[in-house]
Amino acid sequence: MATYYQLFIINRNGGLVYSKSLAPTAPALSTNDSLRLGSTFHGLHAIAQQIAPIVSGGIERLETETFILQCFQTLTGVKFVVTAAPGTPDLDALLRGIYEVYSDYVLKNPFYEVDMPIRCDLFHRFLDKQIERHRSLSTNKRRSL
Amino acid sequence: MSDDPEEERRLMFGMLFSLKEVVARFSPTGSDNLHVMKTSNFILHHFQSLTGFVFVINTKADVPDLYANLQHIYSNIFIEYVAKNPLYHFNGEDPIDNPLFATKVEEYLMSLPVP
Repeated sequence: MATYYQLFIINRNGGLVYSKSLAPTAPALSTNDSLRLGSTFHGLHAIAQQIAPIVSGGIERLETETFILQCFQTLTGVKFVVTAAPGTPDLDALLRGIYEVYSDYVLKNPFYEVDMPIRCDLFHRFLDKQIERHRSLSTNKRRSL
Repeated sequence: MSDDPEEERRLMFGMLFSLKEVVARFSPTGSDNLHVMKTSNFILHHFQSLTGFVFVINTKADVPDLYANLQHIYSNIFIEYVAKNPLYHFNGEDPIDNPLFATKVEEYLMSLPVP
């Protein structure tokens, strides 16, 4: 069963523009906590690039005992971060799908100011659809394995 | 990579500390047990003992999870050659100055079937 825990979207300066809990088992984070987590992760992403023994990009994936975190950074510096249960497949496909929804319903929205929190109604709706789609794709894939 | 190994060590320590805090926040159970941190070009493997010693290895991107290996280094090499050494004085500051330990760790790492 593909269990996603949380989704975060972080802008180029480290500010949180969107966060969403995707499961009741996800840790409950207050708005302040999410904001702080967003900027901390942004900083760590950059530090990982610095301490790398060879030329490298920032953090792409964290695997721990209790969850996986996958991060997709676009060419403009926006980070899409999702946490999920250990063993959940295809997280990068999910993040790319979310990036598509973001480009279509946020960036192309003439009333949206870049780097500000996302309040686009169509984005929320299509995001839910996209997540559902990937969730069932991953679950069916696992069953057939 | 970095011109200053001291600086690199400090950065690494700071990063690991913050990373563990972030991991604890994201985790549904609050555990900060990090196994692996992957970037596009390298992987950082991490293991922390119950007593607080942290073992870290940086490898190329094609290496699988070395968590069990780090655990082995801790229980079979560190414990044997460092903790059980009656001359070993743990004061949290000095690096481990035990040539036998260094040799054993190197031997073990060389023996792993890893590129």
